[in-house]
Amino acid sequence: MTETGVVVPPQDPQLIYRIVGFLEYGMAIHHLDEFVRRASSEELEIADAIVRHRPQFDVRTNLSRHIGGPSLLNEPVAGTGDSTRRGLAWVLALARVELGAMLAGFSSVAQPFQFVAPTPYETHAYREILTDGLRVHYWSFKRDPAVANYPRTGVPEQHIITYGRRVGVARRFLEAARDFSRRLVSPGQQAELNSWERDFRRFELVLLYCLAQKISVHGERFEVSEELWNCPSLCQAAAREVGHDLTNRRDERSLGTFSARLSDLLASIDPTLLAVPCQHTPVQQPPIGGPRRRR
Amino acid sequence: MSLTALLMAAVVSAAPGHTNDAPPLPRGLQKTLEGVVQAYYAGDSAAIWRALAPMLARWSESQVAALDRALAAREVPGVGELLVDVRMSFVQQNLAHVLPEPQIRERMLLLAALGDRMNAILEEQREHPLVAATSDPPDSLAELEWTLWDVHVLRNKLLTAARAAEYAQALAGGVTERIRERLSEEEQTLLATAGAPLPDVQSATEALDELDAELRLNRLDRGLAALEQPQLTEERFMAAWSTQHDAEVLAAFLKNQSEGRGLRRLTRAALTRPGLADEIAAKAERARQLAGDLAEKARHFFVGLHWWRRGRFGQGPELGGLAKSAAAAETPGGLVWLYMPSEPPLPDPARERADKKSEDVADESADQSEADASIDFSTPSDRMRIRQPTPPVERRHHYTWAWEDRRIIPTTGAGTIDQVLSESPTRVGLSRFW
Repeated sequence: MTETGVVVPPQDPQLIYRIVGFLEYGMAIHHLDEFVRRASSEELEIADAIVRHRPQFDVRTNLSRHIGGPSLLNEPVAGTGDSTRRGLAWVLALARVELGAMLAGFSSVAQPFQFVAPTPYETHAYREILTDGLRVHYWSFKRDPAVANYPRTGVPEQHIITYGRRVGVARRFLEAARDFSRRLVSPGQQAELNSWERDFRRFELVLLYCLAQKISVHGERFEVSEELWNCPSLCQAAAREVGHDLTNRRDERSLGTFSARLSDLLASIDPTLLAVPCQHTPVQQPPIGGPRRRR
Repeated sequence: MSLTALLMAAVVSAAPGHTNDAPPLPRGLQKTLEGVVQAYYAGDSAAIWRALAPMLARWSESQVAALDRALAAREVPGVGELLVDVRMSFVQQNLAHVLPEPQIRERMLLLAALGDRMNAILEEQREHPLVAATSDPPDSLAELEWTLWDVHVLRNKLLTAARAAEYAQALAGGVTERIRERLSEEEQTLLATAGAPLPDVQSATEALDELDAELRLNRLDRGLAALEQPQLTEERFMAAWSTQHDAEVLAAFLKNQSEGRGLRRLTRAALTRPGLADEIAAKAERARQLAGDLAEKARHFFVGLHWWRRGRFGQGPELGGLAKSAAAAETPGGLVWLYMPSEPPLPDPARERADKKSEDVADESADQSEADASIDFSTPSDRMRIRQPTPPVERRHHYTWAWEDRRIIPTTGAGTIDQVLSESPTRVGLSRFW
């Protein structure tokens, strides 16, 4: 009997080691943390000066200003408009945020930014870089024509995993930014964070719904294992939305049935999902971001 | 288009989409095309090679040209460029043995590329101001740090050149007489001169080894002098680390020499004076006493900065520098290997200037031209194919999400997920990543 199925390949747990910066920033944090822990205040000042005087350690911040819209979460621009930060705290903070983002995208660590949480020495810098990262991801989502079109076109199959990872990373940024700024945000900022979270969630629901639809259409029979949901971001999102820990559904024998049920559950959360044409074959999209600029 | 819009386009856009404006390919080539494109965006060099190399000998020129056009339509480099890049990446990582022997067509492409790369590295070495003796070594510890970094990067490049030369020799030696007879005169010359640069590479390496040792000797003395000063200054702080490090490197260098494993002949007078090894040991001991616990703290600080610099500016061989190769990830040494810029790396200066202008000047068209001069991309996946001396990214997390390491796979048949996903190479596991 010919059977059809859809495989969501598992996330290679070793993939994260291939990202340039994972090992490197990890080692940097280990050594620099050790230094900060042992150093006297005078030694810290000297070390900070060494970093400040070397332009290769400059950290440019507020990158989101290039793409951002009006928001209470925007960074107030300093008098000079200079977005370059210098010093050991910024170096450490950048390493932590980059490492946290790698864990968010390529591991199943639930709270990746807690895993690389800052010490009091660089908390301020960390919060600024983290929040800037959140703004970049949010505004890039808002301005991405592909994202805007998904409710109308469905999600191309080749985008589900990458965009699933992308929205997962963005949500981890948001959660971390909220955690690290809990006592510092105004009610207006809090409301905006909530609104951004709703936007991310809405997009994540579209991704999940399309994934469930594809599986239920193709998956007449399937050997279900936890690996199926081993796209950590989407797995966590599904678990959050439908209240199951899908990674533990070892006894589920019929993925087609389960996926259909997942689709229904998702549609009951957001009925507009029913209008998303997810059963379509992969959408051939024109290059996104316009023609390449060659010189 | 404003700079803002340009940057927005870079950050906001999607994983690779494509238009199908190339003519349709025959079915076999189309299958190859899909495999290559997927492997390319997944950063899987070995898979690219597996898809292309075995077929190359069977394809006509017109088929290769058709495939090149189709790849270009997907914004992927052509067949020749891909094959050479894959091989070169493996050679540079000392993993050439991982791939099977190339056929003659691929072999000739490779030999030409290897020759170009070796000569470029040798020229860079010859033109270095300290090698060409057009400038004197710097005085301060901070400047010496950068000079030594320069030398370090050049030495690593020469190591790559030596690997390339040895590999070129092996490639040329593997061509049988019968095949040689069918080659053009130009191709035969290429074979005959394949390993010619090797002696030059070896002597250039020796010259740099000696230069490095002399610079360290110089820095050891300056460091010791800085440590003699009781007040904590930048120089003293740097010296607490550099004296220990230089003494270790120099001791190893001299030990190699004394055991006949070093350079053939030392030419720099500073390195040939009698009792130098004992002198260095005594200076190291004195430096240790003077630095006290500052030595260990400074070690953590400078080693940490060293790793940070690798994280910020290092580039892997895959995904335009954002990823290390899968093969390298199977060895601890491979996990560490990165391309590093030979010049002291700086954040993207053209973008910085353009940003500043965009804040200062109303006319954004000027910003656009300056930004375009240094930024040549429109999608995150573009970032994964551009190789520049310094990574053109401010944050890696803006782009790495687009790494298309997997696709949803529709299957037909009685396959289970385990069968479909059976390809699971053994990898090195690090229980702790720092």
